[in-house]
Amino acid sequence: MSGVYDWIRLMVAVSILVVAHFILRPLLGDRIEIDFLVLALLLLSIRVRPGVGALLGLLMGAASDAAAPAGFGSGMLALTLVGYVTSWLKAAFFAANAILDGIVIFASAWGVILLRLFLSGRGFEAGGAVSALVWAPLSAGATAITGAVLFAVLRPLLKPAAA
Amino acid sequence: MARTSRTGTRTDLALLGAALAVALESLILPTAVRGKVQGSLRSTIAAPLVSAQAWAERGRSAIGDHGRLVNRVDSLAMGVQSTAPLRAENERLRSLLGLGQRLQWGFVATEVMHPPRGGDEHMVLLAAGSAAGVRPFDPLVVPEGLIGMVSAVDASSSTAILWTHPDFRASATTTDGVAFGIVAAHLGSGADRYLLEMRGVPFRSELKPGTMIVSSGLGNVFPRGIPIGVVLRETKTIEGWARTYLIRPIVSPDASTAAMVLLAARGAAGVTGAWSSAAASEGTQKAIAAAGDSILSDSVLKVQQKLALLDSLRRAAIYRGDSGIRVESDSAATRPASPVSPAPVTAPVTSSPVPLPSAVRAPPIPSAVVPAVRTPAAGGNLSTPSAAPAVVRPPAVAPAAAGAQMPLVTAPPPMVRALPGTAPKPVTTPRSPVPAATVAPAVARSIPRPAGPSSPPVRTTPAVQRDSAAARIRSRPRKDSAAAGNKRDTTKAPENPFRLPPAGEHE
Repeated sequence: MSGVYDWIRLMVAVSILVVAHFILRPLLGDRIEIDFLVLALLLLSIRVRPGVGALLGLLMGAASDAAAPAGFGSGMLALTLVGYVTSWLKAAFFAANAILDGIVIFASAWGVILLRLFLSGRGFEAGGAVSALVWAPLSAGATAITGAVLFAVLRPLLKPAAA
Repeated sequence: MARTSRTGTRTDLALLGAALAVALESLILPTAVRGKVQGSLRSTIAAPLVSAQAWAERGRSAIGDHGRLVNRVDSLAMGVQSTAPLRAENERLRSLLGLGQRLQWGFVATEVMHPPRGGDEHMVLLAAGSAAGVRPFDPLVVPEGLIGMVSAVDASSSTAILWTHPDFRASATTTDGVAFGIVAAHLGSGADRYLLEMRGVPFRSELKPGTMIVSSGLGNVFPRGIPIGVVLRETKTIEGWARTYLIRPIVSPDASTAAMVLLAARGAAGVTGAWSSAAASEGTQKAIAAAGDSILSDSVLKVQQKLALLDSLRRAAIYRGDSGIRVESDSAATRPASPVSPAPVTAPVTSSPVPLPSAVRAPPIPSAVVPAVRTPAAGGNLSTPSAAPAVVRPPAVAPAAAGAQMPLVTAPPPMVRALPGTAPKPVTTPRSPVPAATVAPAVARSIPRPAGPSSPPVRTTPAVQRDSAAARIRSRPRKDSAAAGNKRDTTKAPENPFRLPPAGEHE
């Protein structure tokens, strides 16, 4: 981060993604959902230390769990881990490679969905396997594609901090 | 540098551990505590996000509902279009029920099956046969009037000719019975084919357009009084000795899907009154429709009655609390009546000297709303100079004898409280089985006038005053004749001014 304007642009981008998570995502579909919150967390976590990334993940997870009908805490746990891991791995994976970005986003989104599914107990219900193995990868793929495009567009904001 | 990195790593691990601890703690929280935490988050920090998500959910459901609503509107539009014939058939069946109610006996309701196109359009098949009592030449009628006649019968079905059939004949007359003739199908062309003509009307009987033509009852086929049609105009015929009129039939031949076969016994007994007036028919239809509606409204009425009961009880409780006034309603009926006791003043609000139907006699003021008008503290009593208190009852309550235990305030039983739009029945008590509104004027006349300056005048209703005036008028001639007995012959009856003079007195 070179200056205040970079932080302002980053905050604007993160805010747009967070708002899109709560407004745009319900409008897009029932089964395949784009997790804009994971994208916002990735945008932030590659610029901060792993501990701060974990805290940011905890906050975003709290916001996500507050709007969820069940499984309070599962989003917090999942996004905490994602925030820490992506911040720890930022030097290794966040190069100027859209495919690599997409893979990381896919893995993060799928992991978040799986953690939410099984921590909230829905993964053990009837249809949980289908959700975990069919709809969750599809949602993660949609999130990865969206994230890759967004990160390519917002390349100036994606300059990771030094490890 | 390495120390800084290790310190940072420890800090990161500590932050991660703290975040994980918070997340795990949130996961294992009891449900109640978790709900409280979640609710507080929803109402504070995450409130804008939650409301945005709710707005988005509503928008998505609105988008999804649009297609469903369009489909639903289309389905309803199609349903409305398809219910129009059902509604018409329903009206027709109701009118048929009305006709059956007026006839009461001696008919068979049957379905009328018209032949397909290409068949004999002047004949129909009926779903009732000899097993139901149908015989040849029985009239086939609908609520509007005569439609045809049974021509052939088998066990379970029968065949009837409509009035359009060339062989159809019916002896007809006007409703006043002035002109008679034979009604047959008018074998014209085009639209005139569906007219009737009344032949053989005497020249002296000139019928005006619009005159109703009914069956005459001659010939013992069609009973008298079944509407056939109305006169359109007179037609020129080759016969010069009688008139022929074109009749517009009152029943369309293809409009009936249900009809009634009048059995022979019913035809012999006559059907006078069944088609006497269209208003009666319409009124019967409305009554049938209203009967269906009243089934629904009956439950509503019961609820209203219960509410009125509660209201009455509440008012009674209020009266009980006012200045120690004692409320006795049902207990008054259980006490023995005093053998000689002046009746309490009963001042019906709307009573008539002529006994009226119960619906007319209904008191317009709810009984519980009309409390006792006077108490001993307010001005003595009206009936006796003793301590018996005055009781002014609501009009729906029968007068009870006033005794030592006469209640100061007599409220009617709450169940008899008149509801708006209902016709309360006359209420009787064990001591007075006569309807209160019927006996009220007589009771009021029998009440002695209050004595003493402290007693307020008895307030009677105009109905009572009219009745008293009528009684005075009735008694006046006797008084006059008695007073004039010294001057005139008392054996002579009073002269009736409207009596015609006997024959021979004109001179």
